[in-house]
Amino acid sequence: MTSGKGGVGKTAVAANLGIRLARASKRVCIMDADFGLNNLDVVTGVENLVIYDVADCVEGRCRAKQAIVECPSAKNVYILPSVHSLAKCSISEKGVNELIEGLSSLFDYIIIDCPAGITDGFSLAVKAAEEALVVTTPQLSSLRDADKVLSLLRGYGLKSVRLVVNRIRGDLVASGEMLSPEEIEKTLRCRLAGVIPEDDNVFLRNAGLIPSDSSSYKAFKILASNVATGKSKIYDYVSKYSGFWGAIRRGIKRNV
Amino acid sequence: MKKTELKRLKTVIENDRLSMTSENVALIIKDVAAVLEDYFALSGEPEMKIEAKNCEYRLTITAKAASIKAFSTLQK
Repeated sequence: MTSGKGGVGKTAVAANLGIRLARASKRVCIMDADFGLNNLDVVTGVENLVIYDVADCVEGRCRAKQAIVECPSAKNVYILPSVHSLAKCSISEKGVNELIEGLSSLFDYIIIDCPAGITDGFSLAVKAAEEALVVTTPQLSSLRDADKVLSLLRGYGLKSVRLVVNRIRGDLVASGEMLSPEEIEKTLRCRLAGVIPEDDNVFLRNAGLIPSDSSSYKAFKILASNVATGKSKIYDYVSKYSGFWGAIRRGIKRNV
Repeated sequence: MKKTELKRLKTVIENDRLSMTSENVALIIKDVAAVLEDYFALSGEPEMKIEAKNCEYRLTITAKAASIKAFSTLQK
């Protein structure tokens, strides 16, 4: 799970995707590859349960099974926390690859939550992966960075590279003020894996605790299905803002 | 507003993609020269120019050769 630009919602998407896959009876491990600026543990509500982290595993202070923490809000989702100290630590590519290989027999999916940027952490994570999801928002700065990341990913020979457009505003797309995911897909020349609407529930709640009637819940469910099957079904982010009643809703949303 | 935004996105991406590193350009030229060398005795390294417009790229490759090597194609 990568993006280039920070703050687009990689960690939230990684966490919620993992939880949705687990609810479809998959065993999932989500690894925080952001060494030093970790927050996957906080997003999944396991920050008080962390004893060991990736560095402890790679440097041989514990086994991987000792480091992974089960997510309290989702059965069969395990978090492999990142290094939480800002002190320099050397996490080798070989160490990460061996760690992932060791875990791969235990899990159906290992989701690697990449750090922002395209430096060492990104490279380390991509080299250990088979597929990539590039998370972007419809803002120009985010799309520009996503395009650069897509160019870099092409050189790694991954099985698949797809796009997740996060924080889409159906009302703004309907009124022509925001780029649509389809336009983004066409411009970046990368197939969509999912579209996640802007939803306060993602911001306010831990992953896995989003109410089932919320728009993002449905969108994450579709994303998980697409990841599992390779399909590209897209959440309908715009229909409730189209037509006469849609125009009323857009007007209300703008004025609230 | 969306048309402007889309146009702006395309322009930004085109400009970013155009700024290839010198290593990337050298790699392409090396591959092109290898293919051309099969048919021509090149006198120097080929040159490449890339121009972008509307998400399309025009490549112009220029090379000089001292002679054309003898080759023919097999009849099917």
